[in-house]
Amino acid sequence: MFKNEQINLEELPTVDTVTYTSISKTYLKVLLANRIIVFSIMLIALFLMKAYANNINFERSFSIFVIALLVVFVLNIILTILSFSKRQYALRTHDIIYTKGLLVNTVTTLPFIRIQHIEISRSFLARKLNLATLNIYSAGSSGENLSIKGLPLEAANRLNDHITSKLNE
Amino acid sequence: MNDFDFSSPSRQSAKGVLVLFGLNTYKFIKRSITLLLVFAYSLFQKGSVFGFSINKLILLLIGVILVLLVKAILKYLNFTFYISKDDFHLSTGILKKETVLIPKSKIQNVYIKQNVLQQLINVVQVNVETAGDKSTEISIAALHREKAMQLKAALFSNREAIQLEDTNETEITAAESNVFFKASIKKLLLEGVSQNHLQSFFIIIATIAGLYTNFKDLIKQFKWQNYFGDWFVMDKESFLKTLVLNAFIFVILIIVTFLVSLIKTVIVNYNLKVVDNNKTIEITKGLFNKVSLNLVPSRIQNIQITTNRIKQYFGLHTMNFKQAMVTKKEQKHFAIIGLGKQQIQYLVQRLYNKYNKELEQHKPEHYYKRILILKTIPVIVIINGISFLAIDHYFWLVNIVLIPYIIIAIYWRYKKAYYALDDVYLSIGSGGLLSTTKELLEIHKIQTVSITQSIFQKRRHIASVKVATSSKVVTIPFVKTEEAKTITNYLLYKVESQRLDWM
Repeated sequence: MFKNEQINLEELPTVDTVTYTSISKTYLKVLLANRIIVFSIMLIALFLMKAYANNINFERSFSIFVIALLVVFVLNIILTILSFSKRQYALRTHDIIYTKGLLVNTVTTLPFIRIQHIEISRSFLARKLNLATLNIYSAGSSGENLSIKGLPLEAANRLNDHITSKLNE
Repeated sequence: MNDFDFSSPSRQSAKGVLVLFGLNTYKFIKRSITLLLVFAYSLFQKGSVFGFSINKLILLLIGVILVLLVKAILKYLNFTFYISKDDFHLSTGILKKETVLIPKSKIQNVYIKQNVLQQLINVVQVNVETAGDKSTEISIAALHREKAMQLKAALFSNREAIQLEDTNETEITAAESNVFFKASIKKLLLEGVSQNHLQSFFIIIATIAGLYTNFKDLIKQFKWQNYFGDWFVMDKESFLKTLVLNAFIFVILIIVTFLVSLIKTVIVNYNLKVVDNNKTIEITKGLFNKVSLNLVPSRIQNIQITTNRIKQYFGLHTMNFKQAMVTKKEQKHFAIIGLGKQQIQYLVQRLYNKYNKELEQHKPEHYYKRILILKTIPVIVIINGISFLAIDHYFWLVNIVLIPYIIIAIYWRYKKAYYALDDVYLSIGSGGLLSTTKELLEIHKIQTVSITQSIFQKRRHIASVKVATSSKVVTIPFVKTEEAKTITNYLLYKVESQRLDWM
């Protein structure tokens, strides 16, 4: 017989009492390396512009541009380091939770029954450091997917196997 | 009525050659329009193109037409489809052969369309769509209406069988269908008048800009100065003249915008009809491009009801149905305009039959208003800056209009924001000074739930909840952190304990 009992909201499993697992600390190296590369390219572009532009106004304000770029770079690095510890994930019986962000913190929960497929991707640097990214896709547009970056390869494989077994249940 | 056999491979109607030829020609002309215009221009100026005489050009033209025709015939001959027990099969391709197989159960929509050419030769186009990406969309260019209807029925046949077993109601087989809503021309005109004209204004500006870049060289060659030389002569009155000319152009643009959006609304929604088919809801509309589509309740992910102040006065509401991965172009067909309040209620009840309108509406925290005000500061600064450049000392005068407008807009934005939640549905209200929007969704169609919290929100223990279905993300803004967590827990509990399919 079909039952429809009242649900006590206090007794529902809650998302905030789970213990989160942090991603690999070495991933911070990847993040910093990426940022250094991007800023180096921007700095080189700035110097090239100075060399070829031949514009008095540009040359006068050149130092301001460089300082501004450096300030943004330093802020970005500080923010990256501070918010790194916020990148955490947790597994529950029926779903996976991923949280990230210091200035804007998001906690996303994706139930296993909504997963369409999962994949492990590894960039060049990640392969060197034995890291992996686990992408979990739900149906629909890109906004509803989870991407857990910087997992130790072995943890990524274990997660992958666990979720796959859940999908086939 | 003779029954068509779909079990063996069949081609489309022979008239399909004509439709394919028409489509190919249209595409060809569209792609090479600039080149063709340059040719035509050179033909009129010099009497030849690259040294080709008129006779040779006509031969060339005939050649091109022949190629297009042969291509259409080959395409027609190589296009076959059939339906097996559970799947729809299609083979296409002249050189690169392609076979597509779609399980019947994965078909999301079957549209029946008719453009002008198809209307003239009395065939219909059938589009079969899944929730996959664009490239898997199937289009059969020409079928007799009767055959198309039977194909549609055959494609939906399995599902109906399942549903029949479920409900065990014999009346359904009678398939009584009644026209539930018909939009009169008066309603369409009212809808056209009361819509957001700013949007079509930008579309027109973009179109003009696009045309201009296409024909820039041609326009330059025409030497406008010869015709409008007077305007460009600098004299005492030239300033006044430019001003009058600009004002004139502006007024013309506004009138054109108004007319374009009015005419567009009427053409797109001409003869809008909503038929209640018991299991599905059928929408038919369009003057030049007739469209007919079926809404299957299980495929609807979100329902959006919008109106604005003027429309509300006339009792007009628009209902949008969002489905998984429907292309932007097709998405707009899933809208019913000109609905009255009762009709909206009826449709909602029809699709979401457990929906209770009298749910308690929860408001966002008052802090929401403060953040909204803070967010407008950049806009105020920019507008003041522009105003400073334009009118110098008295630039602050804009604020006399701007500040009250922002206050009123935020007041209404807050007033219209709410969320309501029960066992089966989540509804979220939003809007601004003019518009009002209501989002409805079934909890079991949720894909992911996120809580977002900025550091400013964190200090005040406030967070927002983002609820994603496969077609759209809706936000419950600025509730207490505890409340956000309770909502999230509840929604996840529902999704994970019911384990219902999302489509």
